[in-house]
Amino acid sequence: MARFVDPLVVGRVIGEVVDLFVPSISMTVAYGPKDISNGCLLKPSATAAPPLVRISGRRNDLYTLIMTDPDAPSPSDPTMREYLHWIVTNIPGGTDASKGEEVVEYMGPRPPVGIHRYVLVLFEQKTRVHAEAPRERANFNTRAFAAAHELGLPTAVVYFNAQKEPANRRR
Amino acid sequence: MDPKDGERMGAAGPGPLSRQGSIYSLTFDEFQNTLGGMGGGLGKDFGSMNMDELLRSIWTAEESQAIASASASASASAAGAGAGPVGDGGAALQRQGSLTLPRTLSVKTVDEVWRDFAREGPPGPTAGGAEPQPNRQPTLGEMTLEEFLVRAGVVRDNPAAAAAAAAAAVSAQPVAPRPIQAVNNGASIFFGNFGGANDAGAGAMGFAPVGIGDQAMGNGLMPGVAGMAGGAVTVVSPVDTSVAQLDSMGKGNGDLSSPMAPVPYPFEGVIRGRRSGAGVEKVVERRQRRMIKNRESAARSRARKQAYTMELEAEVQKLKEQNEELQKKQEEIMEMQKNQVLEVISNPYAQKKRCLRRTLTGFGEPKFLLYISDQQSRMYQC
Repeated sequence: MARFVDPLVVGRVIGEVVDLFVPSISMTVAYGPKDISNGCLLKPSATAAPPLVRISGRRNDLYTLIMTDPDAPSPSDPTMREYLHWIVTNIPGGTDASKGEEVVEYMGPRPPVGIHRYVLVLFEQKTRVHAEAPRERANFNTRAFAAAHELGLPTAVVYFNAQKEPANRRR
Repeated sequence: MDPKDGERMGAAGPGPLSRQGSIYSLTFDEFQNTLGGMGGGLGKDFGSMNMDELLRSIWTAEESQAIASASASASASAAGAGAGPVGDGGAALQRQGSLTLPRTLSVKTVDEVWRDFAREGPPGPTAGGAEPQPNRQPTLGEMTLEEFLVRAGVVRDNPAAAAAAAAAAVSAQPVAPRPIQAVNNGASIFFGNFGGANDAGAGAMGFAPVGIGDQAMGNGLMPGVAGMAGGAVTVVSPVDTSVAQLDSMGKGNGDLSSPMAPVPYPFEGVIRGRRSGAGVEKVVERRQRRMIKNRESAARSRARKQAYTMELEAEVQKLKEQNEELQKKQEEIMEMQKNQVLEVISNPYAQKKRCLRRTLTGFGEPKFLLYISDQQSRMYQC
């Protein structure tokens, strides 16, 4: 089932990371037992391990998953936009990201300043891709990557927020 | 601002702070009387006021004066005890240098400051036009407002010094909400900045320009800005309050053209009159930038909240629809089951017939068994 894109527009994910698209594939992202909803706030400690990303779609279609942080290093001055956190290619439809090929190893959110958005974008591949990992994670461009690998527009996007946890939390 | 004024400011140094028609040349006693006469019911003696309150009351008085001078220029001179040539435009609003109220000072009462003076001894040469003769000012009541403010360190005649002080204040307490800075006569410097700030603000967020917002706030504090061209007073308060003010104020431009300020605001003229004071400019710029950043961050926060709310609403909607669908399905199934039962009950003949037909088409035992079971179940029918 296609997700509603308005939260992505309001959250400026559409615009700053990807262009306007019509969701055609359902993607659920779960850190631990719970699926996340767009715009929810997660603790970096809860996102240290890669999430379970399940996608719909047909078994013989392949998908690419990219996770980036458009707010690095600080949301008010995102000089590293986008910071790359994860690339998995060749994920068969109807499975999860662990069935694909991890091109760039998952790196958990570690926002130094402010509340960052972490965007997971799913593209449908035309064919099997052999993507090379970018030399560095900073200043990655999802659009450019998609263009380079003929991925077209996204088919699903999920994003969440994370903020640095205080060193000693009173509670 | 004409350049002559700037020269006067730079060269005069310890020159009088006030122009004629200014309430700064009044002594405390006179000032209190004036306020009483204006019906400004203070309900409080100056001595027990803190410096913030004192300044505010001075500004209030100035406002009334400005209004008076706008309606009838003669009344300004009536209110002011001083003599001398008329300054440029709205003399009542004119002040020189910069008003800076550090936190420590702003909470002190006038009496406390007065006592500090007494301890310090005679005023220095910078203390206004009066000669340093302590015996001539035995009481607070006889001191002029101007002198008092200068000695209290609220007013500096030299803009550079003011800038330095302002810079120090800013760097020392970058986010302290209390200190009030009123940069007067440096208004042109301010407005020059507003251009840049506006660009940045509008470009970044599409918000009401920052500088104008502040200006509007200044107007709010001093409604009678008749002498705007001559020398306006801009109050820059720390980011949080000014943002709140801006929100409540709405568009600054609207305020500028409101009846509060009947004289149209000559923006170009002010920019032309841009003067030295790079320090102030820098501080102001930094402040504006911080303000813009703060506003951006607030907008992001709102967007974040809204996006999440939308997502949850969409989720709720989706679940509701799903729930409805499932309930409908369930109802249909229940209905179907009920119908089946009812059909069996109300039209057993069809059932029987079917059974019979089946029995007829069947062979041997099953036929008999089916028939029996049917008969057993609906004995009364037979």
